[in-house]
Amino acid sequence: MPRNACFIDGRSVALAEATHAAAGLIAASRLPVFLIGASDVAGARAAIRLAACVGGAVDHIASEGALRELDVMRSFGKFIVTPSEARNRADTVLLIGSSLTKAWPDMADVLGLAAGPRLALQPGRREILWIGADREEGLARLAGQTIVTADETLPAVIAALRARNAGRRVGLAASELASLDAIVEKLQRAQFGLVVYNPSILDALAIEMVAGLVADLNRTTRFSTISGGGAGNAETLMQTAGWMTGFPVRIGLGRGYPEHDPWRFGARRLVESREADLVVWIASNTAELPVWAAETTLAALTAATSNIPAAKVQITVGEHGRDHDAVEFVRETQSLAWRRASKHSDVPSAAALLDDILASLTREAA
Amino acid sequence: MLTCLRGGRIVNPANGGERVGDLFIEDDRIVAQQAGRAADQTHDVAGKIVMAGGIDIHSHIAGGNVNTARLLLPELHPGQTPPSRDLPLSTARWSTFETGCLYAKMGFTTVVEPAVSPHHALHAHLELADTPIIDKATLTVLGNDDFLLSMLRKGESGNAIADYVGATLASTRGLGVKCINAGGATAFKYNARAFSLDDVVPHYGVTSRAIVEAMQQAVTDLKVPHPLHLHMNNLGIAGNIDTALATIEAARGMPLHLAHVQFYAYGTEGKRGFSSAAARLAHAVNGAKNVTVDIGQVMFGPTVTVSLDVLRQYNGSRNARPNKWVIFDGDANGGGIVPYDYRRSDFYNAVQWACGLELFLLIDDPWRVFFTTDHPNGAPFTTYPDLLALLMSQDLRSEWLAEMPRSVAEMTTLGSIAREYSLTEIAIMTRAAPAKLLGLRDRGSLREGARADVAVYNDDEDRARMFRDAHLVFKDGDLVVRDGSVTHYRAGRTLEVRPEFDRRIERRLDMYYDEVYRAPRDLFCVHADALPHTAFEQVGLRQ
Ligand SMILES: [Zn+2]
Repeated sequence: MPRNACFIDGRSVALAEATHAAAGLIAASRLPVFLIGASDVAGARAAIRLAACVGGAVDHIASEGALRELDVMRSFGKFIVTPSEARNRADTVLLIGSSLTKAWPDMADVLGLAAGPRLALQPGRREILWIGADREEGLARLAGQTIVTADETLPAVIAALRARNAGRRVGLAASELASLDAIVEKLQRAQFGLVVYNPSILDALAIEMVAGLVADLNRTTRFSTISGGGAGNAETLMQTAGWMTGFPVRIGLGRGYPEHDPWRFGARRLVESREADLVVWIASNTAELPVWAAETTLAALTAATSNIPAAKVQITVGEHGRDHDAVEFVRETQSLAWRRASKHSDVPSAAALLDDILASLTREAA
Repeated sequence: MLTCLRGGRIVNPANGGERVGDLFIEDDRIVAQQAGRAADQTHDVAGKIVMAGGIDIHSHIAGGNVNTARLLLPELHPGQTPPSRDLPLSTARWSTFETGCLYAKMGFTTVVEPAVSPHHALHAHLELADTPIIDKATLTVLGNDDFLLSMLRKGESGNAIADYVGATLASTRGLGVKCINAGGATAFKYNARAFSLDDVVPHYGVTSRAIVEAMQQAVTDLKVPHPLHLHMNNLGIAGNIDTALATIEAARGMPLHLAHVQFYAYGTEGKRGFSSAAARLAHAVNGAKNVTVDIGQVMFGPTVTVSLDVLRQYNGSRNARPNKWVIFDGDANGGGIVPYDYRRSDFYNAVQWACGLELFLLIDDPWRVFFTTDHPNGAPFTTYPDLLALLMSQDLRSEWLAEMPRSVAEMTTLGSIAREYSLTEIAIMTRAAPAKLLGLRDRGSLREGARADVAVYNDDEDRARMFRDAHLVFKDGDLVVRDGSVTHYRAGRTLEVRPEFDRRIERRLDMYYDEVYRAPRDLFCVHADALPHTAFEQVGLRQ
């Protein structure tokens, strides 16, 4: 399959014809949803500009998780630390939730869990504490102090931990209380502590409880958090949407001005309710098209070259960071960072294609 | 194309003061009247006020922390106005597009984002690239970074430190250097809850004073036009006038800019232990010719405080209105976002408001006091027109004061100050002086050869209305605002300095990044390739 494959109804066509067809679908749509599977800042920016022009909605396939984290920030507050600062400073690390390394495979290495904090006043090893379901997993074996609990009971354990840290009584058996208090004692002795949690097994309330525990600990010592989640690419869109529209995703631009509503502008709801009549799928990286996205007309701008049977129009775009230079959110630095193309090619970027479509629509309107 | 602004009252304190007459613009420059040549376009501006485009030296309009504030507070900025077709997203409240338009329509054409941490510089520049019409610049924040503090601990030479500062300015594309609670953010990571000028940063064994002195020296050695821009220790605390006075002393006569000094003009008098010490601070500033200040005026209403002074933001988080916040223990300074609602009926807020006005009015030299609200920390920049009106009218100030708690008048001297700013003084403070302070030789003035950034205002008795909606605004000679409405977007430039330094520091930094951040330093550098929509303009170094 050539890297510049384009299809209309599964039939191989030239790029210009496919672009023209995609522009036609977008122009004719009552409410197009720009659904991002993966993009760099330029792609996100171009999608938002086009959505603003045609009155579309903008969402990301991983926005659910990103919004859950954001909700905690918006209803309570958050302490956040960069992985490098945590590696340099944290003398105590509390790991919450099993499978932390599933979303973040090299977490233990990035956080330097096996080594000591370089900038601590008293150099030494890190104290690792662990609460999760499977004692056999690698991270648990790094821990000096552990509590084994199922995913379902994890929120109750976090609540009990917070209560004990605040000196409140909790109705637990003596042995359970002892292991909780052992952890609390270590937390309170930290000079700079870090809590890493797995957001995919915690709901917003439980994440808020973690944030509350950390806020309480900060009254007497320093503590901060890192989410072990993989919001990664959704964060690129979050940030870009933030400065372009003032809002995080999910965003609707049907009234000309941006509106933010996590329920109303969720892509899945818009498709399943048939409010949206077109999905513009943008994936300049490996990202799996959700099944529901094909329930309506689909225009796909994707780095995957194999034909998507459900797509009315499909255009191959470059992979950001490989075919073309890219700026995207990087978890390790907690910032937007630049990646030079690793294997520069002529395959058009999603941003360039979306800009072309926007230009053709504005020309027609003029 | 030759444009004539006919018969306006030209207020141009940088060159020649005030006159009534014609002003000519050709392409992007102010030009002399051309003998025997008729203008291609003439605007009758008789009876109107003509000034150079405004320059804001301190306004947090872009970057990671500003963006976090947007995401934290969607309720602060609901918008319900569709934009015109040529100005997409211009009505999206608090978007970069709106920011560019709102500044332009007030007649401001250059704005400095004053708090860019090196690791978020690319993000800030991406936002600035999406801020239309106005020219932009950034100040690079140092003074809590491990590399610098380690250099100071080891007693490295001033040359080496200047090389590091120069390399960081180059990699972040900054126009100047800022310190924010020098050492205090790092001390907070070691659990300090307060940090003053002579407190020592744990682990590094250096004081805030030593950091500031070293940075002042580095900025001077590098010939960066803008002096060190300093956010002092102990912001917002009763009695912090002592910190401000000690910091002015600590400058030892070398150039120093003190940011948002309103937040440092507090005494401890009265039954609440909170009073205005603005008169004392103004007196000290009047006597220290090496010092410039901007005010950081408080105006009333809901806003959000965005600051890289993470220690202060943590302490302030318990007063968050509404009660939510983000404390970011980022590399070096980090930052904090704390929403706040300044209320007229709140004694403390009203004293803050009065403090700022006292400073504006008691500092004699308009060339050394700068017009800011520390947007959005004291108030959004959209309150500028109201603030200008207050500076120009004692009656208006009295009206406002009458609506505040009576104790406010007792704890400040505001009620007794008769001074009213003239248009010339306003033009100095918002145009001529900022250009001089930042080293922008072709701005802030309407002399021949200057950049044709021009604002024309109706001479309205209601000064707030006058400054809210400029009659005409030209950016680089392009008419972008008519009667308070932006007509079209154009891309502004980003201003930077490129000081000379010994490039060997870069190899050392590369190794440091590999070891400490386990990432190539390149990842954090601002490459022009990453900013296809940005035109950079180099500002000349000090002669
Ligand atoms: Zn500021």
